[in-house]
Amino acid sequence: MAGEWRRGGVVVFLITAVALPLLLTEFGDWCPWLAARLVRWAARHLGDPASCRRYEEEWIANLNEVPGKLARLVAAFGYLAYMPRMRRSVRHRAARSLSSALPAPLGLPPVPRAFVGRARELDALRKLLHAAAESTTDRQLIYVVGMAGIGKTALATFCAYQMKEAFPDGQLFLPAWDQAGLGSYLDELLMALGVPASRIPQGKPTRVPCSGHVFPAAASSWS
Amino acid sequence: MNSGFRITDATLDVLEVLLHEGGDIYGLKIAKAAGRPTGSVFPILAKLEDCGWVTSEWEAGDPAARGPRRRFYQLSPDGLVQARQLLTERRGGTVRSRPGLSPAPRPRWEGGR
Repeated sequence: MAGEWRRGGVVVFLITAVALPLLLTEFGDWCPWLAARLVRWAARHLGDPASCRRYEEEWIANLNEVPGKLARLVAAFGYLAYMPRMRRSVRHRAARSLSSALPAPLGLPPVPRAFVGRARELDALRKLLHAAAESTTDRQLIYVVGMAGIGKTALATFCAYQMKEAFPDGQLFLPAWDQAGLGSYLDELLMALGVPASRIPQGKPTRVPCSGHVFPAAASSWS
Repeated sequence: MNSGFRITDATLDVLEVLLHEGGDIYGLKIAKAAGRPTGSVFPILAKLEDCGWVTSEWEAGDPAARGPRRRFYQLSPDGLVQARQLLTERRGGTVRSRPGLSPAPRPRWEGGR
């Protein structure tokens, strides 16, 4: 009986005096590491690469000034908690800078005033565009075809207005009046998006991937 | 006033700090002075920066040598005017005392004999 008690005492002693302090120290050392990981993760999921890089550095610098190990972890959770709001701010800024870089002719034309019917076509377009918005790899061209005057531009414009929220990077409109080819339009679009002419590589094969990089989720309509 | 975003109490707190705190201030310091959680001031600063009221710049120094840099915020000339006007409008020009803000000037005894 007495031996069992003594053994129990030894176990309790080992737990409270050895294991628990060891665990606590370990946890304490682990806190700043986890805090930095959390903050970096939050910053990297904000939106455009430039903002991600900026806030990652800025936040880590701020986090490093928080005294204490546990306090740093608490602060990191604070950044995480406000991440959705931060994301909205960053996205909003990106969308604004894009739209301010665009000259007027490249915005969407005015929404067609009397647009009725075409529910089936609109539905089909919406489905295709949603699929394109969700996919990160596919760049999709959607063609609306039909005889002159049937309302292809009206349909595309109406749909673009309806789906504006799904494409926060912006919407561009290029009327394809002349047959100069896609290449010249790409140059125009890239420059309109703020890419300096000197950075637009000449020759089609390199220019196309470059444009894909600039507007990852932009919907373009050709009518 | 057309600022393009909703001006909340937290926004006013941040503006107040930017208006009254001199020198290089960065996110953590602004949050402390405003008495707000650190994470919450960055979305506000981003919005203010977006509409041109606030400008920010990196701390001088090589990041490779001294680790991540802080980013200093300050009111732009336009923001300064707007912030003053807004604070007078919404808070009646009286600055609420906050632990981090520099104390209001007090009369002192001067001179001797």
